[in-house]
Amino acid sequence: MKAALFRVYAILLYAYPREFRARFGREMRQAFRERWRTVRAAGQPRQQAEFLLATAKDLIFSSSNERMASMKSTILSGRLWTAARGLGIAALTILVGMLAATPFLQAFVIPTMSMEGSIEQGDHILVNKMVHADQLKRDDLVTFRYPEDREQTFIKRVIGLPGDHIRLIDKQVIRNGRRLVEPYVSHQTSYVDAYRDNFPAGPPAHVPQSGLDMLAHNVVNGEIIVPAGALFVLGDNRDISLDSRYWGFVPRADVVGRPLLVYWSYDAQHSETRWNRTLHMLASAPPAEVEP
Amino acid sequence: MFHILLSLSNEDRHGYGIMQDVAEQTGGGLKMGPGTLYGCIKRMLAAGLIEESGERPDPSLGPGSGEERRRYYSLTPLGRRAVRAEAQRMAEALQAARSKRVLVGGKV
Repeated sequence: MKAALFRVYAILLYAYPREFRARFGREMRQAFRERWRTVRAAGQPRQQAEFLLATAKDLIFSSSNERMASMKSTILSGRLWTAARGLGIAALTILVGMLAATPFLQAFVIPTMSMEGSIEQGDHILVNKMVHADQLKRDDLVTFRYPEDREQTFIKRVIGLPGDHIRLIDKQVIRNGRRLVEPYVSHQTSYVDAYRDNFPAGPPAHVPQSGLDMLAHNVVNGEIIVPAGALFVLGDNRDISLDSRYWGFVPRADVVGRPLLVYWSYDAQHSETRWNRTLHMLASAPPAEVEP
Repeated sequence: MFHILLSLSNEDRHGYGIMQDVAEQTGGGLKMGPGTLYGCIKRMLAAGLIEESGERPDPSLGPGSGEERRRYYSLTPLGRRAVRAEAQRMAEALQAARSKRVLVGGKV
């Protein structure tokens, strides 16, 4: 909770112009942390709420002041585009910050490539927490608590709902006897791994206890049958994704919500914003189902 | 801005130290957020009223955050003259207000 709060504050600092952030960002984060510690030590929820509200006001007013100040200098030097973009980032940051503070949405950053193709490393996404597990459909994206470490939140795609029969043959998903043609899937390796690509037929390798339980109790005629109250999920970057094939089902109670949009995407390798992914809506793309 | 100058008049402080001291000066009435504070600091640095006086940890903040390096600020001679002139002006204004009996309670 604490670390998440400091992270959110660090993200919100993008509301300030780049020079201001570079010069004072670290000190501002330190000051924010110290004040939060003092307020926390007092132990009054009301004071904590007042402090967060005051900080939000401080952010909105002072960041627009600093943006205006830096805009004056950029407009005068003819860099109108830079100024407009700067203001856009400030507005966006504040909007996202305010939305993410509601119980309906939550912001996450994608640190891995397991969904590459659909969701990139460095995507900052908002998740719609109003979507409950029983509203999820097949092929929807889903965020959930990782069963092996519930502190972590994962994002994958719903492949099987309760009652669905699932198996993989040579990397192809067969669901209820129909082969899925999944446009969103990418494969990084060409070789066929006996377990990963012919699941659940192949001999299990590196499968934790929860996965072994699934193999022991939920396999009928070489197919997984998804039990009641659970989801079977797979990553889109299928060859490198650790998913239900390895650690088993996601209990419905662990579903956090459905990813809604990418509000910002940062390419750390090239240190630049991916503008074409910013404000990109994450819709489900249903695969074609064909007879095998 | 006056309160920030005043907080630096007796010792060098880092940003959070300034916030604490200003809150104390005003009986908790003026709580500046980091954005407002550093906006002021930026302008005061540009105006030559204050300057950076190095980075060092502040052990008084306790374990964990005490070891972290913090940037300290101090008054410049110009800043010292400014805070004195402003205090002088306020003292004179207070004198004038007293003579007109605008302060409630009478004894101020």
